[in-house]
Amino acid sequence: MSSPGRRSARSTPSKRSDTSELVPLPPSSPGSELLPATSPAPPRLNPALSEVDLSSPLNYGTPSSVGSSLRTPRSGVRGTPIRHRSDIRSDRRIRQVNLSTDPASESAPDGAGGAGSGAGGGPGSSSAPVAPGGSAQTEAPQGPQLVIWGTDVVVADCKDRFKAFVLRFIDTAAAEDERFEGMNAEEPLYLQKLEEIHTLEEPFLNINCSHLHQFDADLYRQLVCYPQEVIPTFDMAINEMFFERYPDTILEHQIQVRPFNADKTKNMRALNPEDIDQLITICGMVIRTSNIIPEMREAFFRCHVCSFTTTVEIDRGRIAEPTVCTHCNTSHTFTLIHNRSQFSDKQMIKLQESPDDMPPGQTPHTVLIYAHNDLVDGVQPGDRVTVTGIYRAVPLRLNPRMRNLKSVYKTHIDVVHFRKVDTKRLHGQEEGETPRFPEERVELLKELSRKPDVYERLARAIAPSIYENEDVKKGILLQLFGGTRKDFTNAGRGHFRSEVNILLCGDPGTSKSQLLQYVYNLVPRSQYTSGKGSSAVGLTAYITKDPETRQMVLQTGALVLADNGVCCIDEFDKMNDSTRSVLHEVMEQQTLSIAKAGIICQLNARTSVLAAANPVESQWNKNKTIIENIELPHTLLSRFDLIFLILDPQDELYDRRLARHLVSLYYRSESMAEEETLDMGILRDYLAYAREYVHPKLSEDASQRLISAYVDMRKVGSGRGQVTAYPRQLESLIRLAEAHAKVRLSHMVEVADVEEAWRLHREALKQSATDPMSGKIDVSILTTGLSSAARKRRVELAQSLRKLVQAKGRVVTLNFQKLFQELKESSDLMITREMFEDALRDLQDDEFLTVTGKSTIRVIH
Amino acid sequence: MPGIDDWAFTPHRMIDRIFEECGPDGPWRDNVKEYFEQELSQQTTLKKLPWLNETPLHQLRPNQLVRYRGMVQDMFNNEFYPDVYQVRDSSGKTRLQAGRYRDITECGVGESIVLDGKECVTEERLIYYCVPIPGESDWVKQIYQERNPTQPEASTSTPRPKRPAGEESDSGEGAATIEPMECMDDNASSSTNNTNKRTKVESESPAVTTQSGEPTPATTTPTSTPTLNFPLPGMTGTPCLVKMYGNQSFSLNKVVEMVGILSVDPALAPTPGQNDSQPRGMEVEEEAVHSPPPSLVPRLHVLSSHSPPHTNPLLPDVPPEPCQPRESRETLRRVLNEACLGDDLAAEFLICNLISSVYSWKDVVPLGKFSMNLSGIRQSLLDQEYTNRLYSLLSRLVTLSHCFPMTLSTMNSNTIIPRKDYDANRLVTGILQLPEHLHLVLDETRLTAGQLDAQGVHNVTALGNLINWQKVDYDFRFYKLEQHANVPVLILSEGRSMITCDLEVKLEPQHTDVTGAFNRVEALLTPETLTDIRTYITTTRLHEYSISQAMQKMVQDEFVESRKTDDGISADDLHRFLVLAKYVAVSCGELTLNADLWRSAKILEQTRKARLNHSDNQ
Repeated sequence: MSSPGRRSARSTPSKRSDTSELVPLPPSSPGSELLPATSPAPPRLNPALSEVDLSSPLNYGTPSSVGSSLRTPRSGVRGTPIRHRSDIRSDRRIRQVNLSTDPASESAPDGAGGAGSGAGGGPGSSSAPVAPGGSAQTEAPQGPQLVIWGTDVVVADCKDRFKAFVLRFIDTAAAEDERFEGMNAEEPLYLQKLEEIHTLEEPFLNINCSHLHQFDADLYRQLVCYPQEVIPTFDMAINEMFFERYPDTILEHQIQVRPFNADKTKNMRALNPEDIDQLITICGMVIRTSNIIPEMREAFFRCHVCSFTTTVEIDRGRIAEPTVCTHCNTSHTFTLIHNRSQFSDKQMIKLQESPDDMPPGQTPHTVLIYAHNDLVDGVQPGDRVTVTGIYRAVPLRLNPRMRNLKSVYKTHIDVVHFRKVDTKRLHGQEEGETPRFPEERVELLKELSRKPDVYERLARAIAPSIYENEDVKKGILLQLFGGTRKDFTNAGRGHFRSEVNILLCGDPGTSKSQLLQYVYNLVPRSQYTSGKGSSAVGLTAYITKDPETRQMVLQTGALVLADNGVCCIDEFDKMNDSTRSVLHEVMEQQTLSIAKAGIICQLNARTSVLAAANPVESQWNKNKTIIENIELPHTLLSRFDLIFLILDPQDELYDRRLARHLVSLYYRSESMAEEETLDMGILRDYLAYAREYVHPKLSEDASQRLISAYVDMRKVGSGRGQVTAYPRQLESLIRLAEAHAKVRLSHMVEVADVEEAWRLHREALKQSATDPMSGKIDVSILTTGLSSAARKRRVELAQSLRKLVQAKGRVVTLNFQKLFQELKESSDLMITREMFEDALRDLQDDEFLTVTGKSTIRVIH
Repeated sequence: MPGIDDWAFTPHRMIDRIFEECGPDGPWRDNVKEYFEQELSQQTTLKKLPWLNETPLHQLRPNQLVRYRGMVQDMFNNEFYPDVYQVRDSSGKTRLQAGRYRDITECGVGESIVLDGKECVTEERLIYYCVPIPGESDWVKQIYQERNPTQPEASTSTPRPKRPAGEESDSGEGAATIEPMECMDDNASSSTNNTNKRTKVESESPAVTTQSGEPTPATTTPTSTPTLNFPLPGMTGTPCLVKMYGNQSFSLNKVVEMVGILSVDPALAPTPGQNDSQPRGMEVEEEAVHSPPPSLVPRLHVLSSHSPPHTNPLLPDVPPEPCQPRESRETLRRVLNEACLGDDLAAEFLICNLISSVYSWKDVVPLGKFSMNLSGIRQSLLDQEYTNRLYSLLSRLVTLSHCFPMTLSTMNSNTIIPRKDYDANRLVTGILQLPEHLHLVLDETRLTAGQLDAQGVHNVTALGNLINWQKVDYDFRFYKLEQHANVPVLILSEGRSMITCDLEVKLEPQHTDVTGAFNRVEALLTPETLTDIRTYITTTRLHEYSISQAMQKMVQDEFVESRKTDDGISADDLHRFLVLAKYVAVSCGELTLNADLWRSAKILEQTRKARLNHSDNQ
């Protein structure tokens, strides 16, 4: 409605209104004299028509109408055109009403108060206005109270307050992604941003609504309730300020204010008719985007007869084709010239409720979003975004010529700001979404954390239906909390992983799968796969050809999808070796390298692995080591921080308690069980809170204790000349200690944490790394696959074999079978063929002999 | 029945009257709800309302009250609509109208509608896409059919008056009739634009005639079910777009019975290329799905609704205690005994399977599931179509059932998991989108040698999840949405099934005369016995159950004792014992477990195990 022709005031008031329209500039505006003394807007097409068209003080000029544009400081804006904001539909007519007169009469002179001059002096009584919304006007200056029709917004007042906000607001706790290079937290934040705009020439100013709320709650309320009116006012104000400061800058177009983080951040499900035309912020996942739709903003017409041209702006989706040429007075001679018309970009985006927000048993809601101009193509399907925009509802007309309407509104959001939740997740260190908790919840969690038995409590809350296995649950709990992420990139070592990996190994029917299922259900962004059905590509990534675009598409597998979550792998033992080998990289470096079909890349896979495996003989063989029992490569095993054996304890007391537990499941008595255990929601929040806000560091005492624990671990084996603990074990000890500190929501790792980590580590080791022959705990079982006793035996055997061969004197070749027989006879131990082969290999390594072919052995002297 | 006529055929007039009485600011919404709920609470009047499921659309008047039962298949976005709107007549005077329970805001000749007036109220309503209850057995349908009140119009007006007396239905009549073409034409000529209507009708008419022209199950053979999104192949009936007001809401896959105002105004159908100046781009597919022609998918504005605890028409909502459970059980056992070719053990387990239901969830573990694998169905039996006969018998006993033949092609080609179609913005259904208590029979004997492709493996996993965790992961492309299920499963197979389930029972037929056996079954199944068995299964499933302290102790002791021996029972076995004991007790009409029942459950389980071991050793 900013068409020059229609901009003018109603014809009723005198010329005065026109003139006041032309001097809308605040006197302060430097260089206002530069403003060409434009003639009043081009001839009015039909004065009678403009009866209801009150001029809008917020009217946005378009390039063509710049000359007559009234509001924004034309002054310093040389060369900086105004960009039409289709996102807030600034083209809608905005009327001002003088509150002191009867609003219904609508006789207020318009434009007068428009740009803050207040000079118009309406039929001016300065009686205290009674605005519908109340307080906004109370401190307003003298003069007519001109509010925008239907709102309680006083333009001048609003501008002043916004300017005050920009000038004076100092942000103390800026969020990570709001910070920018060289930001000074002591200076007014938005002035710095203006400077940034000046430097970067990116004419957008993002305003965090929570700042505004902090600074001026009433202005914030107006922004949320009347965004359509208030945002343009902000635009005006910020441009005035900007060009006052940097009068010589030429921007692509004038600065546009983009508010975000309106407090009305809502679940999509909670949107209701009350939110229509308000500024809302919702989050969700982009599921679909349309192509760019060019939308005509301004139609260009030319008269056939005299080639007089005129432009008409779109008003609510329609073009009012001028019928009479004002130049030559012929009717119906105008034709539309397409390529001189103005178009703006527009894109439709479908946003879907994120799965975490959804109540069970419902399907996700979706909402349609219109992105305009620069925001087009700002998001891609799959992105999780927070959208700030104006919620709209448009009645659906069945047929323009039918009287009756389909009684449905179509709703959409005109977006003014996208905030990608994912950006941080991809580049930064932190968790993806920032979980927000209401105060009460945080208080509840903190209170819980102060309980002395919080660790036990939380551990018990994990899979309450599974009986006992306290240590396993504790281990899983620590895994869920994770360690602190350490970055040594500068030192050249890269990241240290913070994720804890756990392997559960045990007899069938010991509810390993249930534990996995539970974790999978508890943790957002977790994946559940079964080793039997997974392939290497299913875990990592694979390339497919998109049937529509015929382009190669990288499809991510479970490990990548579980980034920042837990990847539960059941039947780990049944996974084939090549599949398992991809886990090496993921479990230590936390990345995944792919080189397939011309796509070479490295994906983040910062996932904790929770695996479950059955013993080879399906029942645990007590006489074998864990290596022999599960036959997993020890390179992989050493990457697990904790390896738990879940064995049938075969103990009467245990059996009895188990039986009671099971029986209780089968009759209804929910009451007793419920109060004891924490519900899943609290546990989930507790985890999220701890992971987000608690990053414990090692205290001096704790590091001393860690050192001594590590030295102890290494000492255990050193007596026999073997190394029993590796730095990797120390790392996992640190991780576990950190996780334990997180359980208490403590920012400092203390000795007690280390003790518990050490205990749990030993506890897990005691079961999994006990040498069946010697009965001692031996970490080298995990790292080399051999217990030290077995290794010793192997060396002894090689020695005796060497003696045997040497005893034979100068023989060049030996028969394999015969030698084996002889060795067997000479030794009093049981010697298997494998042991014999191992001994041969050792000797071969010593270049004592070579095995040629299958049955001959050549001795090298 | 003049009283009924008034509010049942022209409910809008009733609503308008209440609206006028209370005024737009008055409690008219509550009063309307109260009024109808009161009327509908009387069973006698309720019975006089026709079932939309059983009545062809052309026999119903637009805007009349109908009953409908269906399953919530999908949930669309909430819809905003004008609850109160203004009508301005030519002289500029305005009056207020209620827009609740309507799809079309109406006004008279020379009047116009004002939606942004001061007194206008915008409200929202929930939209559910409901399908007829999947797997509803024929006998259930038949009972509803018999009980469906005959429509007065159906008899009197084959050449039905085009314009019913009520002024409300002024523009809404003539939705779908026997000849949709003619009817639509008629309507179109009364409206202003002829051409668009005509093209639309032409494009749609084939579908209209097959789908809703005669929705009686016997005659309709829609092969193109995807458009209507029916979960099970071969399903027939009328889907419905249900609009809920107030705080009513249901979860996905719930079976809902409701009473509402039927809305079939043809103007509700999408009219391609007419939407003024709105860029439509991605809206086209969505529009087609979300506003299908009302002749195909009628709209229903719900006045009252509830989700019944069971789907058995023979019983009231709160079923009485079974009068003679043991006798009914015996009858059922005899029938199943014959059907299992004289195998008593299989019959016993089958009873438990039929009455099983998940009664509670302990974090991720469903309690009470009793999926069963009936193996040992040999080729000689298959030749006599044993599995088909067995399934058809079961479907005559339970209210909801479905038989899924696991052939290579069905496993490989079908997506059985519901998935979200983001283009059309709807949940495309799959076989696994099932209502509670549907008895799913998987016929694995159809599986021939061959290879399962990726899709097939996916499907097997999904079936496994359903059986073992009672959950289905709906495919939302970017993530999976887990839905709990409560579906008893019976797998029929030759060897042990490829999908592990709670227990396997090996069939040991005493004879191989399948035809003879089923003839004897037929003889046993008199109408009375059938009614008896059907009520028995439903009531038993809803039975309460508990274990006394003493029994708990006994069970625990026994467990501890048996663990002392080498070959003791494991925790898993105990689980199984407890479930089995529950169903044995409940099937005998007992509310608590006692020692006898426990013992018989144990014997059953031991016999079953012994039989399995025996056959393994052979």
